[in-house]
Amino acid sequence: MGKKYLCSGNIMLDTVKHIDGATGGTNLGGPALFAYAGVKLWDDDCQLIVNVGADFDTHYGEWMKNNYTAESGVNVMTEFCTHHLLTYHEDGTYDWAYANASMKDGAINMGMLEAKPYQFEAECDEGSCLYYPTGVNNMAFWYAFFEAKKKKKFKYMWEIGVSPSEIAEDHIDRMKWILSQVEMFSVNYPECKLMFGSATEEEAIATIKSMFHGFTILRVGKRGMYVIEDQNHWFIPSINSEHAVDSTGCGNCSTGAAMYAYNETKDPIMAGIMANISAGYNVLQYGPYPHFTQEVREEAMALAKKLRAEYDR
Amino acid sequence: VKYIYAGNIMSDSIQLADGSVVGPYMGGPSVFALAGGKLYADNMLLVAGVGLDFDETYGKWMDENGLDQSQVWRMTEKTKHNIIVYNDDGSYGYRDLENPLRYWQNFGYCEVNPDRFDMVCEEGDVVYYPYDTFNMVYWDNFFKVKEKKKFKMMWEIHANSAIPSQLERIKQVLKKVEMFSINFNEMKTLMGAETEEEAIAFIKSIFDGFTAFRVGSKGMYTILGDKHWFIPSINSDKAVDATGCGNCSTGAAMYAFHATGDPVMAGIMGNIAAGYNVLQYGPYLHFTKEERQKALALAQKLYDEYTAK
Repeated sequence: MGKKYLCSGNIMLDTVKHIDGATGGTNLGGPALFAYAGVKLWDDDCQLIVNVGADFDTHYGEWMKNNYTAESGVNVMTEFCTHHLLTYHEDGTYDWAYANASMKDGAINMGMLEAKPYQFEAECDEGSCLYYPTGVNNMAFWYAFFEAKKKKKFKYMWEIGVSPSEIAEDHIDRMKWILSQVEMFSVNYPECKLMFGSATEEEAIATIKSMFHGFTILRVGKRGMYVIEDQNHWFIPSINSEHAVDSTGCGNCSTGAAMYAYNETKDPIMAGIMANISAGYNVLQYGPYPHFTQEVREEAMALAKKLRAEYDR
Repeated sequence: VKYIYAGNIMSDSIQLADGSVVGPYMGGPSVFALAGGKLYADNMLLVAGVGLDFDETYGKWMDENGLDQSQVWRMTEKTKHNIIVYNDDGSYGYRDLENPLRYWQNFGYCEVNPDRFDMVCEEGDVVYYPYDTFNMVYWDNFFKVKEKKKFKMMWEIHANSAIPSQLERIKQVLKKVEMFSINFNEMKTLMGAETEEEAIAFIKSIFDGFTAFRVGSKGMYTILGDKHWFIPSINSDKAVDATGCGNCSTGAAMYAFHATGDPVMAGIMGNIAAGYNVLQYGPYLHFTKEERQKALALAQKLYDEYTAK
């Protein structure tokens, strides 16, 4: 029997090569992992649905030992995980390459590791809640996905992925069609600027309200997020931004947590608060928070309750 | 029993020697191999990940030939498309892709994962799947399914794996398959074969099962245990386009060897199928009952002549 909250998507490693040629450590990453960490802070009833390389244990083994209790969800399908090498230049730009393969072999590997709709059908049940981040450019995915969703009756949090070079002409129509079939949605402000041409956060909120009546988190970087439900919205400020070490994965992490919290509480404000708290733990180090103990969970819950009570005042 | 032809599908356009481009035509190893089997029997199944536009190029052919589309999954918006550029020595390459990163990601995304074989295969089935040796995790997972479902396999090696550094991996895969297909160019890059005899001796030293060793427009050798037979090609004087002939003859040889157990007949039927494939760009268009009878009669005639020698 699968867990109630399922986080899928790519699993990726990053190694950064700095301007002076020094190579920092290899950081654990990938949207699925960050989103899972966002849920795991609050509850053990969660798992991954990911396809990984045979080196997964080498990199993620210790973290998984500390933080993963599900019996399934990690499928070893290729020889190596997707691993990006980011090389920074003096002007702040960077190039990327696959750390362990040519562009062609790395891309084939990454394609093989992408989750497929039939895997969601196999893992999800009625009552499951799935997180999976992807864009609108492959409608073949969506047709198969919604067939699986209809069959298994699970709920879905869609975190949209937007590639500036691949915005389809009918992008908005595709979005609307997808949004008409999902329960929860996550997007950030730069993506709204790119897709809708929003000039302000208010414009972005209005556009989202016109397109979607479910629950949305509109992430506004280190300031926090807006939560939107039908025609109402609330601003929820971030946590821990003054202690930030690395914000990689915070959007995924907060989205996973918001999916969990909204589904459990049906309170959009509490969902935003819990999501920001999850991101607040994520930002404290490179990669996900290293160990979710009972104490950490209690501390987080106490903070959530306190902030929720303060929000109404 | 059903014969399963699995693998990536890509439409081919072809750049001719004068630089002009013709196509797109139906293509992809699994389609050509399927056409090889379909010439002789109907229990053939295509298993592949394709684009939403698949029907535009392949639908009519699939329908007219009564081919089952239930395991042709729409996974991307566009079916992959290559422009093949032939060199004078018969080798070929591809013209630069417009968006290589996306192309290769889609290529990986559409690969037939081992769990798909678990869903499709039944005991006794026979599977054609062309693959490389760079992902041995794939093979581990695949062989678990193969053991569980008890199907047989024809492995056509990818040209890029036919290099000395992959030899140990090739041997590992060959331990668990029943049939193998490779061409002379691949044997040259794999072990530096200078003659076909050298290549044959090497294949015999690493594999005891049935091998179709293809030697271009000349035809193929079939090899079984420590024996081998040269089977000359058919229709090479009428050749329009040789794209996919290796896949087609491999697909047909798989069917024929499984159905007859006779390596000579398998080679003859493999070559006849390639002889149909070479008549046009893309696979042979319409497999009628009459054409099948003609092909089978030709196979029997050539077999009788061959064995009478």
